[in-house]
This record gives sequence, structure tokens and C-alpha cells, in this order.
Amino acid sequence: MQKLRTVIVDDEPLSLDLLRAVLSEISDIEIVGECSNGKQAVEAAMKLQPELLFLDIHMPGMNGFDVIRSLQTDIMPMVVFITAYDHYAVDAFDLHAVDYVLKPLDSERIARSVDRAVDRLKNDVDRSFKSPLIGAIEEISERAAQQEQPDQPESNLPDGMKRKLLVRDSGVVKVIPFDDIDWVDAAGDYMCVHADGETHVIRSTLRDLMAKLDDNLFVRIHRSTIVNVERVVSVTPLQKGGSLLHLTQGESLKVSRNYRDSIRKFFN
Amino acid sequence: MSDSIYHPFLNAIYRNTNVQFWLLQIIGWFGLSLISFLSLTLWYDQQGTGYITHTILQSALGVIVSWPLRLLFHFFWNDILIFRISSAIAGIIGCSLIWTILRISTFMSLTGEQDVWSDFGGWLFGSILIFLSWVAFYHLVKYYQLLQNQHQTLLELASDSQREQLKRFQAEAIAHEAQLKMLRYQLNPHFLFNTLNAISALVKVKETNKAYDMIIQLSKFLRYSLDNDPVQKVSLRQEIEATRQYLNIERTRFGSRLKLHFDVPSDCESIDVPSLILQPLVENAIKYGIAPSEFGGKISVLAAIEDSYLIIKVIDTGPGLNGEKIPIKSAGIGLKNTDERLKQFYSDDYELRLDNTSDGGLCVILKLPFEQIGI
Repeated sequence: MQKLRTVIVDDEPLSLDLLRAVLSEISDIEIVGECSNGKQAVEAAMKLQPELLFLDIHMPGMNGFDVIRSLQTDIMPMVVFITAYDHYAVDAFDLHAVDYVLKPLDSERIARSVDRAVDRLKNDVDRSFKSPLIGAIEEISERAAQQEQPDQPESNLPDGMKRKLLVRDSGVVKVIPFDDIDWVDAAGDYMCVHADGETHVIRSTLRDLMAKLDDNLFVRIHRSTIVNVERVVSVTPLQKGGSLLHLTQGESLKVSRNYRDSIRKFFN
Repeated sequence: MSDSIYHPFLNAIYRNTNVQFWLLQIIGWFGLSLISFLSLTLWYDQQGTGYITHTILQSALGVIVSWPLRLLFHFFWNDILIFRISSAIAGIIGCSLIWTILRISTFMSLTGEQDVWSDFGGWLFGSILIFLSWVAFYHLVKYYQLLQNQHQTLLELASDSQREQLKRFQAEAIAHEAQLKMLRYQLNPHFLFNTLNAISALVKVKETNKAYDMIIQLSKFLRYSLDNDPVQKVSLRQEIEATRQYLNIERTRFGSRLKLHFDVPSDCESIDVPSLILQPLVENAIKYGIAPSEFGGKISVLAAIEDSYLIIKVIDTGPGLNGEKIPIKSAGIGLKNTDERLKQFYSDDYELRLDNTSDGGLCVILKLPFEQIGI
């Protein structure tokens, strides 16, 4: 059968060496990329479109969770998290059926993760890999926020907030004007709102959010992705009818063939 | 306290004032009989059992007649002085009169002598002197006992407070040690698992010498952090050695991202410091100064002696902290524990300070009193 195209991400060179050595012994795996930080990982996922991502959580700059938050739902590969010691995280991963391996890396455990990924690729027609990941990550950050600030009073915000979105980040409520939103993607019960290079996760559905957002500004480009057309800098056509949008923040988004008409309307 | 040094019989006398009273009463009055017999009876050559019987009988009467005096003094003991003196005088006169009358009448009936009543004044004079002595002696004994009692109470109080103090010292020592144990550095499991991962990587890629070195360094560091008594101090040389082992392990993990710089002059090395006091500081430097940066940075550990204080600085090239003056209270749990631990060791004679360096990193400054082994 076809090999799983895999990208491995870890900031520690030795850890990356070990991961490569262990994975190269597994016949189902083809390593197509190696990254040593989160930013590289996001770019590699977009460019190489791997099927599997081994992702270290603790990394400088953008950590493993940030990588997941900022990746477009529609191109999200299967992910295996790597962590050394994190009680909360491991609990949350188990709860949301997110795969993870612990350091020191155990080759048998990794082989089992690969087997599971192969199975999912065969059987999972739906391919909504992002929602369990976001579910787990949100649970972890909620617990962390509870630990730091046990009693955060709900801020009373004035009216006239109709054109703004309220998001909660580690116990603090932030206000984001709709116009500041670059793009949004849905992951199960969660929406990832990307604005000013940051990703905010809220509990909502794409339909609810679409109802609030301005139709002339926001357009659907994939099954789970909407984009603010004013942020689009350029479009690269892809084979098989899809295309790639490049945004002002330097991000790239994939447009599915089914939605190419809606985007074409804006650029004519 | 002095209980056991006497014979049990004497002990009973020592403790019971009633027994003491009656013992002295009998000794006193029958001592008087003896004097009376030896002086008056023999002097006047009064022969016959009547006279001897009378000397004994008058003492027995004295025992009985003087008894109410004790009750009288007990009754007025806590009254004002004037009442006590007047009651004493009245008691002496009353008892003397009664005793004299009883003595004369028994004397006459026992010896058959007539007209002794004409000599009443002489008999009364003797009686008054005797009862005066009785009262004086009674008060003497009573005040002596009181003094002894007070002395005893004071001694007991002193020994009690001494015991209390000892207990308090012991409790404080236990609490102090428990506090130190609680604040002791605890090995970070994250560090341990990451290091084991790095070692398995070295083994996997067949870098056996590097793997070997790392295992040795890890064992040395583990031994140091697990063996050390949090209450004891170690030399700065040992402490720096352990810090070096820890940072060398981290350097193997982070690769070129971590640079190290040590400057510890040899005259600082024999100074005593609490063990593992630097560990939380370098761990913080790694966690906040090196790990979050894609390009890494440098950690410097510097030591110097200034005005009989040891100055240790742990400097990183990370993002530093916001604000001019950074209070320890707002810092993380590691620094707070270090501060608490130093307080346990040095009370207020130390300093733990945070400063932003000129190039944006953080400098943790530790100022400890100079304590050297063998000086």
C-alpha cells in the first residue's frame, strides 16, 4: 500500500534524530519533512500536505498546540503529540481520543500509533481530524486558566457589541471587531478565529457565526473554512481545480474545488 | 522534688502541718515539765508523787488550753495587723488566766498545800511568759513554713517554665526542619524524561560515548539532588559542580541553542551555601530564557566576594521581565521557595534580587553571608 507521508516536529535535535531513527524502521512511513519549530511545521503542513504529523508540544515560539490552532481544518493531517511529562495533557488526550506518545520515545508505542493512523486513513471518510485535537487543547488551557485564576468574574461588557466577537483566552475576555478577523475554521463544536496572527477558540458553529458575519466580507472557501476577502493578497491555482489563497499575515489557505466559484465572484 | 531524700516517717511530718503542730506541742509542753521538775521540784525539794504528777498534769493542761490559740490565729491569719495583735494579746491573757487557775487548783488538790491562791500573781506571771513564748514560737514556725513553701513554689515554677521553654525550642526546631524539607528542590520530572529521551536518541544513532557521558552526568546530578540534606550546607564548589552537570545535560539536549559561561574564582569555592540553592535559578533561566527562544541564548553563573558577602549571579539572555523593580513575591513558585529557604537559613541577612540586564535578559542576584569551612 501507499506509504504515509509524515512530517516530524521537535525543537531538540537529539529528539528529532530519535524520532527519525524509530520511524525509519517502520515500513508504512515516509518522512517528507523535518521541522524544529512551530512556524516551520505550519508551513510544511500547508506545502507538503502530509497525512501524519508527529508534533512535540513544548517548543519555542509557536508550540504544538498553537500549530494545531492555526492549521486550516480542511488540510489538517492526523496528529500524534509528543510530550515528556504532562499529567493534564495526557488526561485530556485520553478523553478526546487524541493520540500521543511519551518521551522517552518507545518504538513499539510509535509503531502502534502508526498502525492506528493507517486504520483511520482507510476507515475515516469524514476526516475531521481537527475537532478532537481542539477539544483536548481547549480542555487543557481551561484547566490551566482555572489553576491560575480560580475566580475570574465575568466581565460586564456594554451594549453596542453587535459587530464584535467576545473570546476567552486563559480566563480573560477579549473583544475582537469582526473586521479584524482574517479567517475562521470550524472544528467540531469549536470555531478557530484567526485575527492579527493569533488564534482564538470559541464554542460555536459555523452556521451561527456565518449569520453574524458580513456576507460581503466573509466567504466560504472550503467545507469548514471562511475567509475575510480583504485579507487575500494573491491566489495560486492548484492542480485538480483547487487553489491556494495567500493572506496579509503570511498564512496560506486551501480553497476546495467546490467553492471556487464563490471566491471567483469576489475577484471579478 | 525534695520528697525522696527523707525517710517516709519524716516525710509525713514534713508535709503534714497538723502532725508538726501536735509533735511540737507535746515536745514543748513536756519539755516544760522536765524543766519544771529539774528546777522547781528538785530545788524546793518537793517530794511525793503529787508534785511530780502535777508537773506532768499542768503540761497536759497546757496542751489542751493552748490548742484554741491555734484556731484563733488561723481565724485571724489574713486579717489586718491590729486585729491579729489584739487577738493574740487577748488569747495570751485568757489562756494564761485559765491555765493558772487550773494549775493552782490541781496543785492544791494533788499536794494538799493550802493558801496557794495568795501567790496567784507569781503563778500568772510565769504563765504569761510561757504563753508569750508559745505564741512567738508558733509564729516563728508558721512563717518559716510559709517561706519554705514560697521557695518551693518558686523552684517549681522555674523548672516548669524551663521545661516549657525546652519544649518550645524542640517544636520550633521540628517546624524549621519540616519547612526546609518542604521547600527543598524537587527534581523536575520533565527534565528527567527529556534527558532519558536524549540518551535513548544517542544510543539509537550509536553515539555511544556521548550517551555514556550523559548517563554519568545524569547519575551524578541525581545523586547530588537526591542525597542532599536540605538542612545542611555544602561548599560552593560542590554546588557549582552540580549546576555544571545539570547545565551540561541541558546543553546536550538543546544543542547549539544553549551556551554556558562560568566564572567562579577559587577563593569563593570553599564558602558554604545551602545545597541546591542555584538549581531553581538555572532551571528558570532555561525555562524562561532559553527554551522559548528559537535561537537559544547564554546562561552565565558568576560568583564574587563583596564586603564579607558572597555574591552569586545567574544571568540569561532571555526576554527578561516587565518593570523596573521586580518583586520576588510576583515571581514563580521556584523563586518564592528559594526566598523562603534563604529566610530559614539566614533570617534577614541575605538578598535575593531580580534585575533586567542591559541587553534585555534577566539577572538573579544572590547575596549570602560569608561562611567558610574551617574558619
